[in-house]
Amino acid sequence: MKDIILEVKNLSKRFTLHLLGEKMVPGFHKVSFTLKRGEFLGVTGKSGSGKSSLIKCIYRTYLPTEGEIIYYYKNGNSVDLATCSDKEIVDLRRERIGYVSQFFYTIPRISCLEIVSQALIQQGIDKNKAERKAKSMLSRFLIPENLFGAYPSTFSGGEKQRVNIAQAITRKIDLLLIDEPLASLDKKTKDIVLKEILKLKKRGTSVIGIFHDEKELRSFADRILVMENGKGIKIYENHN
Amino acid sequence: MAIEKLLSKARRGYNFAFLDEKTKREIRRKTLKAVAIPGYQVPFASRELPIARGWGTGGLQLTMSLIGPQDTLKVIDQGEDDVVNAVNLRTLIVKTTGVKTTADTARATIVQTRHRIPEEGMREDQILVFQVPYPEPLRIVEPKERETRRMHAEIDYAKMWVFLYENIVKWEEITIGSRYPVMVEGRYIMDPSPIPRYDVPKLNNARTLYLFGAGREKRIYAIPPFTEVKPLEFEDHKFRVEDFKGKSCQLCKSTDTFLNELITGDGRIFRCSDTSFCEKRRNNPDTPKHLR
Amino acid sequence: MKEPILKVEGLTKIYDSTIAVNSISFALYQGEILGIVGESGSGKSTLLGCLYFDITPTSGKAYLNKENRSIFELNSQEKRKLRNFNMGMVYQTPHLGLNFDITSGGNVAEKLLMANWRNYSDIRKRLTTLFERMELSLDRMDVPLSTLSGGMQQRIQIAKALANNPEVLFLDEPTSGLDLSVQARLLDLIKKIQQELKISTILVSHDLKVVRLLAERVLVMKEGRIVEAGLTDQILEDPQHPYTQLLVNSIL
Repeated sequence: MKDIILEVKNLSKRFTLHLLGEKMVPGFHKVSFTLKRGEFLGVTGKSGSGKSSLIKCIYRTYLPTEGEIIYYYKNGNSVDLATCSDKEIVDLRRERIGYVSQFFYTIPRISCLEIVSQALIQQGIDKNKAERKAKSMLSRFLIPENLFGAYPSTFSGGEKQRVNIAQAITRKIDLLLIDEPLASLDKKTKDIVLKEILKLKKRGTSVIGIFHDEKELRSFADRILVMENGKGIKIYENHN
Repeated sequence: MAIEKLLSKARRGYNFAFLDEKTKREIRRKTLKAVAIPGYQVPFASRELPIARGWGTGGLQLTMSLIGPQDTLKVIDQGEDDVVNAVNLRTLIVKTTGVKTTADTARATIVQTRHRIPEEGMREDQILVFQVPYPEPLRIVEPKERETRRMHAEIDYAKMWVFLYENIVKWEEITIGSRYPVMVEGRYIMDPSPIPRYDVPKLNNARTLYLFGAGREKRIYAIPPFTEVKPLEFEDHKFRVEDFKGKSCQLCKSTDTFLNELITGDGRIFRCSDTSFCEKRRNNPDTPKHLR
Repeated sequence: MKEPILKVEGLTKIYDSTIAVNSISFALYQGEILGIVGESGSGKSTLLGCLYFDITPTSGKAYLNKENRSIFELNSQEKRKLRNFNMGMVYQTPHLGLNFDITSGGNVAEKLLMANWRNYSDIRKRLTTLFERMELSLDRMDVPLSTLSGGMQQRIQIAKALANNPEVLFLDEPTSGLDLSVQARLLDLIKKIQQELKISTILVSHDLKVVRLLAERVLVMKEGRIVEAGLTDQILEDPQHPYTQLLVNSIL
């Protein structure tokens, strides 16, 4: 099991809307897959197919309705992310699991430099070093230096997206969950961001990434999971 | 019975020492409790007396309940034996007990005082009874009795300390003149009655039993002999006594006593506040203040 | 997050006919901000009041720092000591937590004096540090508290709560009743200080937006009970309980 980081078994998510007469909204149903260390799993499918719900369940932003998400620590211990305590999730988020959402919730009145460096500081890296690393990542992402101190709420969609990705990947993590990271980027910045994500993967981070363009995925993903109507309809090895 | 005879001679229609025996016993019980819990204010059933409350009735009730036919009494008011309040109290006690009186601190067995501690060091076999107008030291920072009681119970004295802190902020020193709050045996903050700061150090580790009576406020408290009594102070803003540097008593020439300032036609002069000690010094300038 | 610094078990407060807090259990972990949300009357402030000894709980236990005796079993002197040395509290309004008869600095100094600080210049130095940290101008230190604005008074409360570097900090609706801009500044300040000092904090608020800004975990209270507990983003994006769904849907 040493080379496996995540084992998703029969994972399902349904939403119950109590305010609308207990209306049930399906998310996805009985999805299973395993993820190896250092593997890039691309997830693709039409919008509404349950892709985002799937990675939100893994990150515990959504509570899974049934199934298991077994996460393996490097030392061989494992934990079910579907049922473990909030505290364990908080620790995992701080130390090991990163998440880039599709829509960036900009924390008010916090500069983009702070957003990126804060993630590092939480891992115990000292402030000066964290800021150095954050600055270097932001520069690589072509965020102009005069914006480092600015609040991202005033940024363009593409800039916001890059800050969002930067704060997730500047630190060392074992599992990265990304939801349409390239959506609002132009060709040039797309390539840069992708390059950084693949660099992280090369250093051993496993990635689950949602990309709506399956063809694009084939140029860098190790395996591809295709979802449709809340089901994983196929998963295949990608040999480029 | 010899004592019976003495009593009947003294009382002239009153019980010995005016108060009835049960009242005296109650006050003595409360006094014992006060001695057992240094600095703690023990409530007692303050009686009506032929003196208005606020004129020393707390001290008077303590004296009345403790005094016996063999005692020698001294009563002082601000250090003086012969001012009207002291004279009246003394007359009442003598009329109802027939005890001997004296102005000499060293010869008295019970000294009742208002606002001073005698200059002469007092001994183990003497009792000093203080008249107390306001027994609650925390009253300046907290008007509610229920609350001050809680503060004492929980040693929650921060408000008092804030008062002292703000004193320094405003005046760069603690400006309390008399009634300087003291900490008794590291436990209770106590009001030492309106003695000058000059007398406060005499409360610490004293040989004499100090009893405090507040008649109007119905409280008794005590400092037993050899009790630690410390004025509240900051490490870098120490408690200080009144400074009489360069001044001396106009009558006895003493330079080591608490002096009263008098304005006369010739200007300002200073005299000992403790009149009987002043007289001793006039007769013998070498009279020591401290016991050997 | 390491060990829980505070563990609450079955905390209950019953007033004559109402159960204000109904057997609440939870843990506060070292260095985290735990949010407690719920509408007024849900018992969240009563809960804090019990933990800060303002209110005597009817039953239940709470353990601070791996002590094996519940803090409610301590005598009043021990409770006071714990409160003075180990806890800080910021009440909803300055009137609940501060003394308006004294200076603003005096209010902060009180907490130090409670913890037996007896050196005047040390106290002044500490006040200076705290005032600077709270972005309060030093010339406000020796003026009557009543001359300060509401936002500044609230910062004085926080300075007082932080004065002794407490192990746990209780914030009871610390920003409600303030103008939006003042509220924002205060929240930023709380966040900054919490990140710097890593004080384990319980934040009570009816405002999910405030909680989202500061807390990683949230308890949702209704009628004295915890109806839902979770990660803040989970509570906001996938609320489970009908009441939580209503609460989330009510965000402006």
